[in-house]
Amino acid sequence: MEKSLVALAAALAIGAVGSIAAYAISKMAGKAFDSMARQPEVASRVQTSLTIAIVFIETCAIYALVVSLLLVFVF
Amino acid sequence: MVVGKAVLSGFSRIFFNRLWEHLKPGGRDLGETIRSSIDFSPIWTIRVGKLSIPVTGAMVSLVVSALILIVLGMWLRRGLRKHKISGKQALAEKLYLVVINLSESFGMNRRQAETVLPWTLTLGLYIFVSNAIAVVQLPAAAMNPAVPFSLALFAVALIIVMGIRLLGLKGFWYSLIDPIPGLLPFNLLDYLIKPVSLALRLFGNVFGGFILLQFVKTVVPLIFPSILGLWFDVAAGLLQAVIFMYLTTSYIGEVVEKSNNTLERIAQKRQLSEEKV
Repeated sequence: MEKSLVALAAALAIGAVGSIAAYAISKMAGKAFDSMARQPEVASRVQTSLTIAIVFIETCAIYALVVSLLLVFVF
Repeated sequence: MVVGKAVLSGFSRIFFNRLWEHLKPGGRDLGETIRSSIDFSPIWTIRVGKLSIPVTGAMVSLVVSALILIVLGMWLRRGLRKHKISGKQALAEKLYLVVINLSESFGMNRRQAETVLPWTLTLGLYIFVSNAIAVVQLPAAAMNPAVPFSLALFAVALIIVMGIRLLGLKGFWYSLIDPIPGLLPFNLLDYLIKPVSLALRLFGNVFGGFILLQFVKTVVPLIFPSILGLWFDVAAGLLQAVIFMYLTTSYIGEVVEKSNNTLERIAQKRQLSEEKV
């Protein structure tokens, strides 16, 4: 019973956070591509800002991955 | 001659038995294999007189990658010219200019960027090589949780020392005072949160990739893991190294920019008070 709860917790942690992070990044990337097509001369600045934003959102997903790995290997 | 043939046939029998045991798909206990492959204990102990220094797998990777970078540096150093430069010199200059432009885009001037460059570029290259070394089956250095945390501590120490070196102690104090002096605790809290986020990002990516590759090696040991290893070891190592270097440069640029903002504000206040008088 305890092992199955731990497995469920690990799966929920990474599943929920990963899907929300992917959704957020996809919305952001869509808007970035729109703005790059509208104004090609600022394309490189938009790309730099997009990269920074993706790094920060991805960090939250990686925190969730670390939590689920911790759950699986310690409990 | 006969003894030689017997030894050879015995050896080849054992060898091919072992090879088949290693290569056959499936049939292994997944959890136990993965759990037993996570081993951070010392593989070797150096004894120097009374001391005994433990050596872990990550330390071996770090030393090997440092040697690789030293050899690379010495190779790039030979035959530097001012005109008619060779291809490798052109590449090295391009890398140099990319990092200088990155530092300048975060608010440093050219002289400050040139001071900061050796530290951040070395950090980035070191993290990349010590993690991409996993393709030759040495353990990736950031897999051991000690390595990313010590690299993050070093990065925070670098930010503080570079801030003091580029701006002086007074300038560094101004960077902590930036919008209003009441935000001092939050600026100090920054220096506690940034290393945690840097370390966890690097550790999570590399350790997660390692676990996934162990899983694939247990189920399909033949060709698939090396193809996946190109993404999970090499590309993830490169990406995380670039992100680490980018964020460290960004934090140093933030310190410089905040200090400049405070200096401007002080100059404006002085001007206003002079105009009033």
